Amino acid sequence: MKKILSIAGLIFSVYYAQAQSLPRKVFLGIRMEAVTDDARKIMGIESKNGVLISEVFANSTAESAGFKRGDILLKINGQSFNSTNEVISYLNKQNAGNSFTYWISRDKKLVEGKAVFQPQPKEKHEGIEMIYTEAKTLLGQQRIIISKAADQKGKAPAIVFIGGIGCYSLDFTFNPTASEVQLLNGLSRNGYLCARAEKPGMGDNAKTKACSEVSFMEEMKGYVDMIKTLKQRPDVDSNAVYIFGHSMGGLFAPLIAKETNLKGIIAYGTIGSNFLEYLIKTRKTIAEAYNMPPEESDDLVKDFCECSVYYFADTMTTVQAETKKHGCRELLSLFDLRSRQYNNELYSFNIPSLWRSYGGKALLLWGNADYISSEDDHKMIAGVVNRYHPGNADFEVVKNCDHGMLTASSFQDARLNPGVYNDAVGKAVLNWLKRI
Amino acid sequence: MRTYSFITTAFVFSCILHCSLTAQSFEELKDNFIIGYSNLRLPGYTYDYRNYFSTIPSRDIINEQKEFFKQAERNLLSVNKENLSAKQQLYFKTIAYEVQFNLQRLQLEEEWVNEGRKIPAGGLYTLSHHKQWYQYFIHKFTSTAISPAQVFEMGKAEVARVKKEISRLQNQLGYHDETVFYTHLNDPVFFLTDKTTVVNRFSNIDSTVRKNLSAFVGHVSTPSVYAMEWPGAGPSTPPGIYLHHSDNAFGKDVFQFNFYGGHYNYRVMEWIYMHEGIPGHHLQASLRKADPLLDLFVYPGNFEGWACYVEYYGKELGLFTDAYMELGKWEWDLVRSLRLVLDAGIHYYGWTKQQALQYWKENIKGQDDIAEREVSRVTNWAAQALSYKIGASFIFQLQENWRLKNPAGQLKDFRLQYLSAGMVPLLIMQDII
Repeated sequence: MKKILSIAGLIFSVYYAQAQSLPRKVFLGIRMEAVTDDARKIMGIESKNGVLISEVFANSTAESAGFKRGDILLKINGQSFNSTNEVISYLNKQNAGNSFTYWISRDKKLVEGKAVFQPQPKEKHEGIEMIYTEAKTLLGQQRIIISKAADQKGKAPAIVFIGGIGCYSLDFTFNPTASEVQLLNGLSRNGYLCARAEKPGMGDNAKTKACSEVSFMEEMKGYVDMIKTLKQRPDVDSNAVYIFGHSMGGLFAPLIAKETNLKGIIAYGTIGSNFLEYLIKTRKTIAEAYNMPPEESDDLVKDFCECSVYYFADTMTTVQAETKKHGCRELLSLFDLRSRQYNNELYSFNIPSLWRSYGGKALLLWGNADYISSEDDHKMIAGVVNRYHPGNADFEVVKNCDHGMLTASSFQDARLNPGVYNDAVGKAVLNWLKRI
Repeated sequence: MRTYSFITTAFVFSCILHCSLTAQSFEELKDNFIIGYSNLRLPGYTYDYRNYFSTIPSRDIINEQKEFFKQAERNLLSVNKENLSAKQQLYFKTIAYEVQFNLQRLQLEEEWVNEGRKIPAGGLYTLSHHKQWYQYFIHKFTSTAISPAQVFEMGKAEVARVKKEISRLQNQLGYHDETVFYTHLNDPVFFLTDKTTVVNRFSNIDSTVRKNLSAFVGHVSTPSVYAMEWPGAGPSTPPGIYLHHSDNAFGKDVFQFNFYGGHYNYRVMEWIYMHEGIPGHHLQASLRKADPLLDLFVYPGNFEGWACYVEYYGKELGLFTDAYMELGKWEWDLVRSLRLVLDAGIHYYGWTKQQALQYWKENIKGQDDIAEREVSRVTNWAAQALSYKIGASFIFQLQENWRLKNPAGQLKDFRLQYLSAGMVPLLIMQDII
């Protein structure tokens, strides 16, 4: 009896070690802001160091350390901070469970103390089981966040969510109303295992190559490895794996399909024409969202084209392009989100040809308040797929929906005041999944 | 502006049977209500109607809430009001008000859930019970019983009145050509670019108001309020905001001004200080006492109404000696008045965005750049914009009633009475004053 118990204990430990090999990121649990000159004057403090703590969250490292609203966080383990970015960057390199020493200024007095970094809590949703697993990819260990119905038994079809061009995390512990969460929870409640593929460098993937440094193809191969790992799970039907590609995520999908079998692709607010043409078309719709007069919109497009030539043809940086033409840096700021290699690869793609070789089912969705992507691109992708694989693609317009899948009645409304997640997106996906 | 008649709804129940609960038992009833209400898992207060609809709970939770309020309604029927102290009577009325308000809400929410939880885009008009919903939102943000049609008519009347005030000042300033006048108003001379100058000017306004405060509201102790730049303010952020020391990290009462773009329109300064600082939000917050029951609820008609009401008294507070400062007050008042028309137009009468923009352009000169933003705000924050002018209008009506009852009284006594009554719905305020 004793021996059996020890074996069981060992198995549990091994499983536990695997499950925990990619730790949750550290959760300090404060809202912080810069200590502005005005704030210093009002608070009667002279030092320009530190960040102002404007809120302390419950069950956080900060709460257990005794931080209070109005404290100024000066240092952790001897590392001093002068901006909120410095704090975030420092925390990304720390491990939950480690103790640390902190220095704060409270009521103009220096307070020193010790505490232990706590991990970020996992998301909790009614009727949903959340699983934080991982995959070994060429970029390192990458987080996969799974949601499935709490009463889900056996193998389930899986939907892998891939996000847009920005460097952001799909870990939404503190934002349960995020469109991504609402969409995927809705699909999970209808019997689909949903998996969010965390971007390199984001969320718990802090120790992989940075999001801003990877190339497009490196990021794509990371997703391939994640999907292959996912297919090995006992609760996944490996013959029924779909991708939901949001925005740029939709462009990864046909490339991924070349490397691992997919049953279907759903692309929302994606790109279909070549990168430059897409950018030009959407400068027009962005101008419309900003209520710009046609003559100004025309100038915007012309200036954008000129700046793009400096960037792509003359291989200048956005800073160098600015020296050639004032305003280029702002117009090209999108390119600074990612590496030169990422942008060059994106620029080189013939996107229709990528979709031509995709033989699975496809649903192209576009929200009619989405001024970041073009309706034409979605129609065109559906047209390409159907030309070479008749009947495989559907195109649908989601009414009153913006790029972020939020409710909005127009481009202007989407820019000024978008509302909550529009569940027509999830309904369109479910209807399509039933149909195919 | 002050002529509409109030539709009084029977918020307070008459004691029909078993009027036997003593004052002591009422305390238990009140304490149980506080505990029960706090445990209802009500979503946080939100301005955007789409957020509001997204947080409407499941049918089970709606039923739980209904049962709670119906039980509270039954409990109130057994209270003998005559035995209650003045404070207890206020609590009784507030609980009764909340019970009726929430039962109305739950009825609408239940119907909406049964009809498939569809969140409309572009306003409330496409909801199947849009008239009732809009009335509910008006009630929520104003705590008055004013009807949508009255809001619409009052808005139009106010737009006309405020335009006359602007014309008066335009003539007074020597501008007889409207186009020349509005071009002049965009002159860089009106935009202060040195932040220290802005802070110092607010400090001067503060001193002037404090000198005249006792004549306005009686002798009250008002702590310092510090002016500072609003960190993170953008082009669509309002010109200022007040943050009580309990709601900020600075440990002081703070008035933040929007210095986005490195400039501040000086015509805004006096009215915004009265609104956000003294005698507006800061004074009201300073006099407010913590209350376990009243602190559960939010009545924007009470506090935004008060802050809007005081803006009309710039001269009494030693301000508006510069006609441009008074003009700034009326410029913003025109926006607020127009919002009433747009609000009822969009949510009650089904105005399209184009109709709303057209109405804006016909009535507001020189502010086309914010038309889209304003129409979007009114569309998505149904009835929120009413809390200012409808609230102020209600307070003016209360003032008139008080004057009739106290012909020899001084208005400062009325104002102190209003502030001392605390954060109660305006419909209950009329019973107190």
